[in-house]
Amino acid sequence: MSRCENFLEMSSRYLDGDLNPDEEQSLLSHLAECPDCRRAYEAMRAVSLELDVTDAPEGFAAGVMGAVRAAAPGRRPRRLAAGRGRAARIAALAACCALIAAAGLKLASESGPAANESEPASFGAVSVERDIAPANAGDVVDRDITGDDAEPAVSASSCAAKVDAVTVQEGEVVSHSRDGGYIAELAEILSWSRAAESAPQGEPDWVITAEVDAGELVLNVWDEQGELLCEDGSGEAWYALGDADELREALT
Amino acid sequence: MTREQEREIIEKVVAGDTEAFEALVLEHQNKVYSLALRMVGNEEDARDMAQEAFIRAFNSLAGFRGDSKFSVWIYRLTSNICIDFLRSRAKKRTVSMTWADDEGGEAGELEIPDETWSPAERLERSETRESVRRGLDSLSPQYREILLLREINGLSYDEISEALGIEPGTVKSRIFRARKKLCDFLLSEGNIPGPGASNAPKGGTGV
Repeated sequence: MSRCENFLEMSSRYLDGDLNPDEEQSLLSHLAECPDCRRAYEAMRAVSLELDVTDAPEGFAAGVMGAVRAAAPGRRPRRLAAGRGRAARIAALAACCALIAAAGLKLASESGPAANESEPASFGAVSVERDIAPANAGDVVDRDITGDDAEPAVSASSCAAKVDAVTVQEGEVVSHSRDGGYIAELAEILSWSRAAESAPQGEPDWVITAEVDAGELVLNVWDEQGELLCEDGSGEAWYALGDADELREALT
Repeated sequence: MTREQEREIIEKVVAGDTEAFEALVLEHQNKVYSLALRMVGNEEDARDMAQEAFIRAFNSLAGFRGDSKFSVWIYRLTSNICIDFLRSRAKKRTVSMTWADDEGGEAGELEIPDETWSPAERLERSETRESVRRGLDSLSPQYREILLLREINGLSYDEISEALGIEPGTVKSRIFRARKKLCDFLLSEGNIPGPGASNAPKGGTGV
């Protein structure tokens, strides 16, 4: 490092308050006699002053809270799935709904067209959890579950009947499972996080088929820069809550 | 907000009190948004990125161990989200550049400047401000990230070291290189701030 280069490095640390008094003295006397370093230091300082805090736009917090409320049910099943017995069953049921919801399927016979179609994951799952998991449920370990006055949109039993099995195709590899915990995990990972403009062109990285009593529903999933972009065949596309690594891990 | 208050709020949220999260949003929204704004360079995307950061923070709050400050954690989330976004944007641009290559143009990951500020906004912004924005655009996302964590978010070298998982010595030299590149850019644009009033440097790093 040349002498001036060294002083430039010190100028940067000076702006961050990282110099001891001796270094500071040495820098300042150099800046006084070296116009080039002085100029570079002034530029650094100007940048530093320019990079200030801008207030978040109006309504930002409200927007976040709206999205967070919608996302809240999505994070529950996986944590529940770690439990055993009843908690795990509840998780599986909730996740079945979430998977259906994630696939954008309207629960036509029970609830008619979904009013909140743009946020598929938010319907079904949350109501089910609240419906069948009172706050004092004995072995439900998750502190998350609270009694709530929300009206259940679908019942647990109708939900349980929905997804019997899941088939995942990744390239040439096809796997099939009826494991509720596994389905729950997939559902959690694939549930709606935010809307996507459209599905990508080309072959999806995964094709996930859920067997339901009414037939089957197919979810196309792409790994887009590590994020999961899902599409349900109707043109509805969304970014999933989980990422591609999580999905790969769940599938192994 | 004290560390203790922060911890109480996080416990509430993890226990299912979604509404308690709002206090964290209000506390950190300006710096998270500012970081996103400087990372992606326009207000609309910055808003989306900042919102996404809070949503991801909410969803993974149960995994937040409290070893570091919530602020450090969410800044890191924010910059990760922004870097992913910038990568996918660069990829899209590279695709359009491929066509340019057919006619002998130069292909590659050229940054095509975004016309993201409206003319009225641009008028309001000083030349330095505009120049700094273009300069930031010219930095790699990694340089941009580390410089902004220091300048906008006011993290200390140690906090940045922890957030990015790199040695404190590397933090110092990387911040310096980011500043130097940015200044070289300003000087090359002829936008050299004159020797103004000697304002004191920003707050120290606590070293």
